[in-house]
Amino acid sequence: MSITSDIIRGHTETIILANLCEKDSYGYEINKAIQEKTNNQYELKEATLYSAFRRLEQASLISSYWGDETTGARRRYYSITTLGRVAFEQNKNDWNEAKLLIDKLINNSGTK
Amino acid sequence: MCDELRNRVEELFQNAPKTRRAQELKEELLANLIDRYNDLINNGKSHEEAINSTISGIGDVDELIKGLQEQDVFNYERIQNQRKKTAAVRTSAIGLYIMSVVLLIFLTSVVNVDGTIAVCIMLTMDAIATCLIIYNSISHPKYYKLDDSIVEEFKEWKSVNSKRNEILKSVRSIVWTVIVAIYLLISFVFNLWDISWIIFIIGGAIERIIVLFFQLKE
Repeated sequence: MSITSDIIRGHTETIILANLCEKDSYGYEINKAIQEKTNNQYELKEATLYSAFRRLEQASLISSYWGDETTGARRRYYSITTLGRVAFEQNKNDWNEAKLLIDKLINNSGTK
Repeated sequence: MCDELRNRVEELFQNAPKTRRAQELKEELLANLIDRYNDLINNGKSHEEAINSTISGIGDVDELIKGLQEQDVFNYERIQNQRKKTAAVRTSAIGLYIMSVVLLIFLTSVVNVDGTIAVCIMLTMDAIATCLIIYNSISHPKYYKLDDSIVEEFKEWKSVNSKRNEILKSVRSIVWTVIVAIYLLISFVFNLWDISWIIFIIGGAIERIIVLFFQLKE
């Protein structure tokens, strides 16, 4: 699990962007969606999640606003910007290319 | 349970700068922790288990706190640059004021240029200097925050919103505009350039009286 985490960590931003492409969301909801999509095999630490939010916000890939919850603590919602969508598409293509290459390099070499 | 999580978050952010961003981050984190805790309780976890699981899910906040500090440093540099620019503009404006008088004396007594033309040149230079100062003060915030803390934010708010200052400023500028207009009018119409400058001394006194009147009224 720890090795898998290391590989995934480099893609935290892209994973968040992928979630925000669907709809505006807040930290816990995104993390829960990640958990559900991976069948509880992966989830982000809160600190990792917020560091990624800050980086994305500074790069203008996402924007944020406060929700209007009347009970309990306020939630901070995030929404993806146009720039963010472009960056997401780019990252997705990069990953798909890398995936193919690594597959060729790792999985095929043993069989030959 | 809210308090338990809140205390935990406060502990984690002990070393964070006391800024609005840090405050917001804490609030955001807490909201998410409460959501997670409630979810765990709904899934049949005990209070103890839910709290422990929630808190261990936070992870290492050092990176977050470092991020908060870096942002402040960045702001500080930008503000310093802005200050230097403001100082440069103001200094050159004042230099222009002084040089305009020097030029006036030089043109009239050394080169023997006609008085009216020399005064026109001086006034043009003064106008440029005034424009520089006005542009500079409008294009920058009136108060520079030293950091992003709530105290500094309050000071900024106070400085901008101080209504009394705004009124006094407006009154002052009106008074001086009127004084200059009267000076030019009297001087041109009655050709009293030799004594009409006294208006500025009287004007100064009138301005003080008006300001005093406003201050006493409060």
